[in-house]
Amino acid sequence: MGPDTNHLTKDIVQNLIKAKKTLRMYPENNPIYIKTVDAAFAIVQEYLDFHDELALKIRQFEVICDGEQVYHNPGKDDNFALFFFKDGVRDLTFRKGLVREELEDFLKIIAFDFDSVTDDDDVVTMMWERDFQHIGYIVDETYLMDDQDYEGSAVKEIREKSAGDDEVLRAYREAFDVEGVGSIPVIPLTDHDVETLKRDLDADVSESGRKLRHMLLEMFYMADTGDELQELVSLCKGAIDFSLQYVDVEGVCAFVRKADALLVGEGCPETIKPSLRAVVKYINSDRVIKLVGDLLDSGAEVEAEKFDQLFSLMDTGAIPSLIKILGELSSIHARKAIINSLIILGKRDLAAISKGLGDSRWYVVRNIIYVFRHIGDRRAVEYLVKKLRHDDIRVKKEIIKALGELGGGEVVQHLRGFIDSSDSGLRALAAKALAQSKSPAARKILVEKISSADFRNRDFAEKKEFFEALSHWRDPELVGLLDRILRRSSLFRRARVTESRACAAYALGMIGSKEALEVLRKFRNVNNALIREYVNIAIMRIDRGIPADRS
Amino acid sequence: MGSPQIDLRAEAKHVINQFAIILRSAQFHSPDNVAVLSAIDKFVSLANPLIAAEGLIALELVGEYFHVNDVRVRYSVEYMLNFDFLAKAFKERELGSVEFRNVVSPVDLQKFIRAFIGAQGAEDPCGTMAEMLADTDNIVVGHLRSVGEEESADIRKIVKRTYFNAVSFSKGVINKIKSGEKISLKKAKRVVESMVDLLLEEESLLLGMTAIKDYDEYTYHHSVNVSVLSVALGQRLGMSRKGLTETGLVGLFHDLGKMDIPPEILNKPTSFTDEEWKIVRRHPYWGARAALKLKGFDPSTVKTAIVAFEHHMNYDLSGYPPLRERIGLDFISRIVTVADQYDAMTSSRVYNRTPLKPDKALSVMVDRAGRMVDPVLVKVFINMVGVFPIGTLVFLNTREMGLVYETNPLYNDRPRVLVIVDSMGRKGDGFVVDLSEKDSKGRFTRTIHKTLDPNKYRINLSEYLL
Repeated sequence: MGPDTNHLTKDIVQNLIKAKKTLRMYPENNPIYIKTVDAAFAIVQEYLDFHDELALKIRQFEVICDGEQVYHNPGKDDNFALFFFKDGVRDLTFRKGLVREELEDFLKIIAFDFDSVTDDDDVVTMMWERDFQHIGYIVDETYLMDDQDYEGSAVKEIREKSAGDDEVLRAYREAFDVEGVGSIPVIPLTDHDVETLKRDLDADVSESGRKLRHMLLEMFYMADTGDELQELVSLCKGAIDFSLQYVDVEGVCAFVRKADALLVGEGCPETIKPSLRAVVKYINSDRVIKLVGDLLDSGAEVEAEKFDQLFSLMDTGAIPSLIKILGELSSIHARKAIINSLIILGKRDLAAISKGLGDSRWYVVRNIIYVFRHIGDRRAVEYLVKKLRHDDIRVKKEIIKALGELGGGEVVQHLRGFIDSSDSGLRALAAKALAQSKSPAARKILVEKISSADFRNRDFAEKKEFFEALSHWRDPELVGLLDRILRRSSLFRRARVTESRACAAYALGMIGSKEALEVLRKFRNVNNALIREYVNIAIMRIDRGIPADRS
Repeated sequence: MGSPQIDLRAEAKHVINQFAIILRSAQFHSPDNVAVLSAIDKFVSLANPLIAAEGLIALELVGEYFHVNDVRVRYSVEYMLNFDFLAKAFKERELGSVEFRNVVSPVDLQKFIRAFIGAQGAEDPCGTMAEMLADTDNIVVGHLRSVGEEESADIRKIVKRTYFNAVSFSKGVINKIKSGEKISLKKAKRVVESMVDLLLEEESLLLGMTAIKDYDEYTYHHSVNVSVLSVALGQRLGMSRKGLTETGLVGLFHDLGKMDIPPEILNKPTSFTDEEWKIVRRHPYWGARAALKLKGFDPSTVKTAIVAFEHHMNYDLSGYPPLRERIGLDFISRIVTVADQYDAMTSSRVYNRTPLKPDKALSVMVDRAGRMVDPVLVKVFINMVGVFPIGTLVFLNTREMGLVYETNPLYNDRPRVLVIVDSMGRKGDGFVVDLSEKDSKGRFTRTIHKTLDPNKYRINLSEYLL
């Protein structure tokens, strides 16, 4: 090998080492990934332009090409030679005709993190399965042998047992008395046979999970001892984990339903019932819920209904684990699914859901309040009001919304305090929530607030929120009050008063009654542009019959 | 800018299939027939881009498999019948290779068809074809290659090492499991991969190793034999390399449950009592449990457990363990069942203490087809091992006695036989005869007249294979 070739080969090895690292770090569409593969391919190709093959001999700590060392590393970490050597690879050859795709696949294999993945594949198995056309390797198989002398002793044994000449000749003599051969009716394969085989081969791929679960349930009926049953429960748990790891949510549901059906079905021996129950209960466990969370977070394509089916099979025992992972999930999609599950399960156990209100993470608490909102059970109020003093304003807002939606007279007293909160957002939400409660006390609170002296100093937007809240009550008395506000005039702070008048017009529009329209028509030509605008919009709203919930 | 990249391995099987279609049509129609011309057109459209990309297409028959430009082309189920037809047609004409060069035209292929049909029955069919194709540069034929003695000895050595390595590994694994150690399937996969490689290239020799039955350590040899036979069957079905590894692995571990059978029962020299049978019949259940405990759940251990559980269940589910709710057997279970039943029937240390002659075992399997074993797989299996499988002790019409040494896919009742006693009744060192050979009058020179029980006389291939 000339100095140039030696240099080139060294560069090739360095490129492969670089690619081994880079491909592990970047996704396939990343420009650095693409550039690295291109560079490795170009340099190997450069060599193959002038040679039929690039043959690398792998030693424990070095790589030799054409008798010369092209890589050496006495250390054990990140050792390119040792990486191949430990799995038995002794020769690695790249042949003319190598295409980029092949080299990329090779680089992906060597970049694979064999240490951190608990997999049964080593570099040889992966190369073997890929079946390269232009990359060859020679493997020393002696390391696979547990007993290197096994062959010798087995051959010796069989030779000792083999027939001597006498036995052979006895067979020969007796052969004359043996009956002639009958024919074996071998019918050739038909097209139908081939079709059947093809179907069987294709079908087999997706069947393992189903068969495994079926087999395990059958095995309960074969178990002899309590220990065996215990072991089967563990295996079933493993099967559920396995199914979830392989994105077979439907399979898990089918498994649990089946176990459940066996439990209630006729002929189920009492001895196996506790074990089957343990299997059914397992889907409520931390482990299963963690796997479900991982699956949801992974973005795997699973229809939402399948998760919903799984959640519907869980019992309230799953709630603590579901709350636990709620704070650990990273995707909105995943959190939404868990929240949905808590809504389904929480209906059966509000107290279990309420434990989530004590979570240290504000967003989990907010999610739990959201769950209560969607469960819609007024009994939740007693848990929610305890969190009204939560440090995080986002939590407070969610509680106010929840209290408003849950309604009832008892929420009014809790919401009242927020009407004068230092945060305008909380004040507006409280107004809205009071309106949602539809209680006369709430109406009174809102009327008082709107009529109070300090109210006119609030921002226009907030005023609007309060008036809109008030418009939920559509009684003539309220129309009268709004009429009076609309008529109001002032020499001082006129702008503030004008805002209140515009808001009254807005509220009348929201009420949308005949009486409200009559009041509004009286003000359609007022001089003040802002009031006129709001009055006309409100009239238009009523004329067009726009419902109150479309502001 | 060169030709666009073509996946040779993927394209090659379509080319071979289309080539077979041409030749099949040409058996019934003249080369000018529309059906033949249409098949030729399709072949040309497939082959010429491949020739442009690769320089040429060298189609070669090596053993039972086609290679294109030195790349072995995998069987695929959909093309199985055509591949088998083509291999048979090549062998009938002693045709080893066909090279397509430059740009192949329909006229070239019509010439080839005439040569192909015309050479049938000629003394040197391949030579005749070469002569008839002398005026075209675009298609060149070559004779079947025969393996040299030296090369053959080296291959035998590799086959032997691979086989015993697998047995030794199997023994090591069982011992480790018994002592409660976790095992790595990495090694198991590598062992099976070696077997798969050999089966792809030297099927007969490795199958020959499974025909030697007289080892003390039956259990380990049986596991390896089932693994080899299952992979060979899977290979015939066109399974992927990964699929073959999986099949080989589950074959290796199918009897894992036997570890739990007390040795005094397992090694009992006499028949089992009812109580003992009851215990023996629990081994599929124990096997499934053991497989799932090997190293946690993954696709390999799951498949191993399923096959361990189902391998005695029978095709019609009439076997054991009995199921409360019946669902069909896993396809690999059906493959392993065929391999297991054949090896068990022809071995001496199984529940049935009287081993059957290989041909008798096949006959029993044909009887069992549809009930105990998958009928289609039995057909494929018999096509693979031949009517007289390797290791069968045969008495020929020439009064010679020998052991079946290699199957002949062309005539599955006319294998190659290692003659150990000549027609004068003298024991010799052994010489191989091909039962498909004909005399000058076109009659077969030798025919199997009788089969004998090799175990009764302790005659096996060990002397010649080991």
